[in-house]
Amino acid sequence: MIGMSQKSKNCLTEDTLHMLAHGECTPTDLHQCEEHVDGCERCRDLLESRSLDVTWHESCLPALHSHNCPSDHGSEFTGEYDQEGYPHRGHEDSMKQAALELLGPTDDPEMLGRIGNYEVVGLIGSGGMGVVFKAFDSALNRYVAIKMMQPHLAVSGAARQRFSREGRAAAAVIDDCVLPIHAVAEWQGVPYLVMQYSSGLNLQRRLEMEGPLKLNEILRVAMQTARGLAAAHAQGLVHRDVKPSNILFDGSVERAHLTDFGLARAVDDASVTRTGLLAGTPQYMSPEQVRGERVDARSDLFSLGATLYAMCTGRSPFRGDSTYSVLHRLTHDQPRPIQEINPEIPGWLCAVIDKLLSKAPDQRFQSAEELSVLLEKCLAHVQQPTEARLPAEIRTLPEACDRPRFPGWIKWIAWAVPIGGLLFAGVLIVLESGKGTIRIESDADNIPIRITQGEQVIKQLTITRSGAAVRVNAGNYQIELENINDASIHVLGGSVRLQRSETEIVRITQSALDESNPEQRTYPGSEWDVAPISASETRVFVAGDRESSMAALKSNVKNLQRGEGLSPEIESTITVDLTGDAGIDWLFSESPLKREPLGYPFCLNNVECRNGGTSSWPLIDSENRRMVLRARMECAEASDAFWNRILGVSIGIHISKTDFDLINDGQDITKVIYLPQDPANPEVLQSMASSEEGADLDILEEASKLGQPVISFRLEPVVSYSEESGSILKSYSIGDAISDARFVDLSPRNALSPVADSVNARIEDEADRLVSQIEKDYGPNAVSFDPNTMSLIIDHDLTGQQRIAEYLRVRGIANQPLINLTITGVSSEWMDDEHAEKFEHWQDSAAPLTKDEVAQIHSWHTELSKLYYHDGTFIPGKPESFQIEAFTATMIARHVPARVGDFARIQVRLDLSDALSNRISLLGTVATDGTGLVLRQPESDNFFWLITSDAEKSATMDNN
Amino acid sequence: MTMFPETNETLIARVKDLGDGASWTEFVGIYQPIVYRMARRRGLQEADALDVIQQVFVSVAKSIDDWYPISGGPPFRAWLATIARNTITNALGRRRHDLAFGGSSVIEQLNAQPDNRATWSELYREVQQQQVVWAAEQIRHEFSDDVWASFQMTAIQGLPIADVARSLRRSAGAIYVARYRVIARLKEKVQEVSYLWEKE
Repeated sequence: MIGMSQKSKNCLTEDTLHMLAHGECTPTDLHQCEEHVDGCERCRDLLESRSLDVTWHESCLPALHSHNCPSDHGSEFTGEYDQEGYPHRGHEDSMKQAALELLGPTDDPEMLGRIGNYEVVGLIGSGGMGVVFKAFDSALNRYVAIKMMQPHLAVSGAARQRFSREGRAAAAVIDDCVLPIHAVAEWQGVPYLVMQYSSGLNLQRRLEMEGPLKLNEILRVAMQTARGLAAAHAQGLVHRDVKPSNILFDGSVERAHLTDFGLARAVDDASVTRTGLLAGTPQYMSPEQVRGERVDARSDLFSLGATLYAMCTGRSPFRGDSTYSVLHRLTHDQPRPIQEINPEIPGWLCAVIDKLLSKAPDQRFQSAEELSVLLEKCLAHVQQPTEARLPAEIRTLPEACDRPRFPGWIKWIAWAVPIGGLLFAGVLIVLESGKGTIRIESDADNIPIRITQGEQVIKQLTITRSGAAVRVNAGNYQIELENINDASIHVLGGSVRLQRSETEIVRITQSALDESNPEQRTYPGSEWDVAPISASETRVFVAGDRESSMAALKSNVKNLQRGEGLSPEIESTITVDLTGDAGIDWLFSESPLKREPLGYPFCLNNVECRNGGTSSWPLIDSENRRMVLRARMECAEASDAFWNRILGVSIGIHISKTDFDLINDGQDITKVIYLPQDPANPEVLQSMASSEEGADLDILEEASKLGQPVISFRLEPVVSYSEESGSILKSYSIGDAISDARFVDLSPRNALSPVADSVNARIEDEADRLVSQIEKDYGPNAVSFDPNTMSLIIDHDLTGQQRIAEYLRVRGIANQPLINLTITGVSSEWMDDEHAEKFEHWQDSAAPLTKDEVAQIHSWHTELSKLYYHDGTFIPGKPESFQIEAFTATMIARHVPARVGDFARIQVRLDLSDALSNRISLLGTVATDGTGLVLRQPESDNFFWLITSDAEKSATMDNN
Repeated sequence: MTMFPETNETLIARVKDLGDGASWTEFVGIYQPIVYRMARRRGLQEADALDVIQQVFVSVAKSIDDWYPISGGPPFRAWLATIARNTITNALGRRRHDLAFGGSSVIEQLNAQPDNRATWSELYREVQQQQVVWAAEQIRHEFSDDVWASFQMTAIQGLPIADVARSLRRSAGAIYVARYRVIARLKEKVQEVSYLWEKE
């Protein structure tokens, strides 16, 4: 073949050359090329002329001739020089070297080596945490990026375990905006992640190359990052290292991917113990993270704010001469105003970023989800300013330069008003204006106000119930009451940023309640506030606009729960939206509107319930008291006229501390929301509570006398066993002996073992201690210990079992028929990584299920999923989240059992938070192999439940 | 063979804080050896040369705070390169070639010297060469030993393909392809940092 110069169909094309140059050929293609080139003179010439061209001869070759061309691996400049002044090499990059030395041998001379089943093509990067290889996954014929922990960090067992654990958690985050992690594994004792290979730039690089981004791109990248974060947060995973270099663009630069979830913590583990220093760059860290406090999702939002700042200005917000000064600045200083650096950034975006960069987490946006929705609307506004308005939440944000003008409680009142007992009787007058219009609505007469801009008074006027409209130039204005001492009069939205041709609405309201104490007036404390909100009267809530009414109500709730000492009585708020929005069919299967083309007209706190017309929430107050709120539809038989009257109404139900107190005293409370038979006031719902009317009254019947009941709520105590202090969840520690014997297959339990006696004696000791601990909490005879199965058996005191079951039920599987649970193990030992591994091993090797067991667990899953998901099924690998006031749960089905004998495991994460925003998370696994539900509390290392279904218990009993 | 003075720790910390990006790392990786060599050529002792390096980078790092984007203005990297060139030529170009200085006042003395345009062209030449060397270091890990050796023996040492193929026990085709791959990648990497030597 040598000497052939004809072009054959195998000859190199421009495409092939491009792929060769960019490392995109698969190993097979590469070898085919080599084989072809070997025999094709034409292609040899082509390659030669493309390689040794003018650029090579003129600039590359001379440089490499006169300087040292690196030959072996590990030739990074280290900051040392040899006698000739050339950098001394090969000393300090022992990290890369060490990583390369770990590679397994490969047969392919094109490859660097092997990690597991991946052929490593090259080392493409290194950083504080580890090194990144490009590798080829021959099974799936694709390139992947392998991020391997720095071998010297991997010496620390804790860091290694955490790297793997965080990696696995991150791998479970599946979202378009998150760079997928394909696998987590270990090689030569060093953990690594297999990720999607991304050849695109990262955001940091783009900012350095191009400077600040354009507005719509800023919004898009931020929105996508927020979405990625939301997906992670939904699983309780905090990123901890959101920064521009962790945001990757794919080739088209149209999509930003967030990467490196949670790994920062793994590095902290290792480097803190090693050096006592902070790992990584602090510039994008949140103040609480810098202070070493516990961080939650809102910490990531701060970092996202800093990243947004960098996108707007091309530089990070907090910079200084040293790490220390950066840390100081980001915990104490405000960054330089964005518009000073880049005047093209609109004020509202600056306000959003300022809010994100609030030092106090509760001053920021509260969830990435909320932020991404908001940014999406902003993006729509920027793209089509005439069709999409800026979202109301953004318009009401204080401008970056504004300092709070009012004491906190006035703001709070402004928020509280829409759900307090207010009169909205104003009439709107709209005047179109070429400049901009400030529309003032009032539900009181003869209110003198002034409109000011800066120091200057623009206009003074007196407002009546008919309202007023003022045309002024675009700009920032304050609308203030003039000489009014009446504390019941308030201005809502008095700080206006008016844009050309836009209309801003300011509302003057008069509170209906007595004015002695504003807090008390709005929240009498023991009240369930019911705020009927109808479509025509208010711009905050619009019929059918579930989202904004939810958002508004939620904002209130947050404001209240955040406290500032304002309304500590409110423990929880449930929102019911009767909105006609599609998608949810809360307990209305029997409602007449169900048959209407409207579809599913109602939504109860975004939670769907199909179980015979009731829905319930488990609630936990700040003192760890529990109760269940059960809601029931009471108007299924009502007339169409009735339905037309209530459609578009949102109801906020506040559960107060007093309610909890009453419940805790053993009282049930029933509350009925009803529509009075009052044609004059057709849209105002009323409420009636047994706590006010007397517990012995049939409240539902009383309400029926006054009108048509809509929904009834019943609050019930869950269980009144002794209070635990401190933690919401109980933990019992069991000793090594039980732990090992129950969950690990250890030979000492073998009767033939010489140490069998002493092991059994230890087990007995530990069992006694454990049983007495549990009985202290649940009363005598709650549990017994069965040494044969190493199980805690709760079989001779039904009450004890029910208590414990209820205790669990209220957290995880509310409103399900009681599942009889047997606690077979409670251990602190499992939190230790070694045990966790053993446990996983044990769980993995569990036997297949019988037909009955599959059916049982399947139905349990179905019930669980039915409760929380619309379609009632799990899609393997797709995380599903639900949120109710008390907690968030995310579930991922790894596999869904389809047939008898199939193994399935569903990961569950429950995030519980109480009214004071104390959070606690349980990670759980529901396994279909009969091992039941496992919950543990990460970080605290002190909680572990293992629950099996009744089947195992029966089996145990039968055997006995 | 001396490590940087201790204060360099601060510099490194600063560099990390300021950039958190590849640009700065690149920048330092390329300019440090250049400044060192140029300083030594001017007769500075090793310790003084290291001192000059430090002064240069502290000065560049400080001016980073002055940078802000102007629409139509240079992006950060180009700006950084310009600042660096000015700082280096200020530090090195204003001194007589035949004098060696010592002590902490070296920069002051350097600064007192008249400008020397020759320093500019020397710097350009140095940067052009250093960035190729830097690029070669950067991409070295992306290739196996065999592929790299194929490139080095044929493209740099100029050995015949057939000999190289024989000594590496690979086909001539594999050598051709390997050389092409490395050189293509090298050019690409050099292009990435071309901002460092492009004249304004």
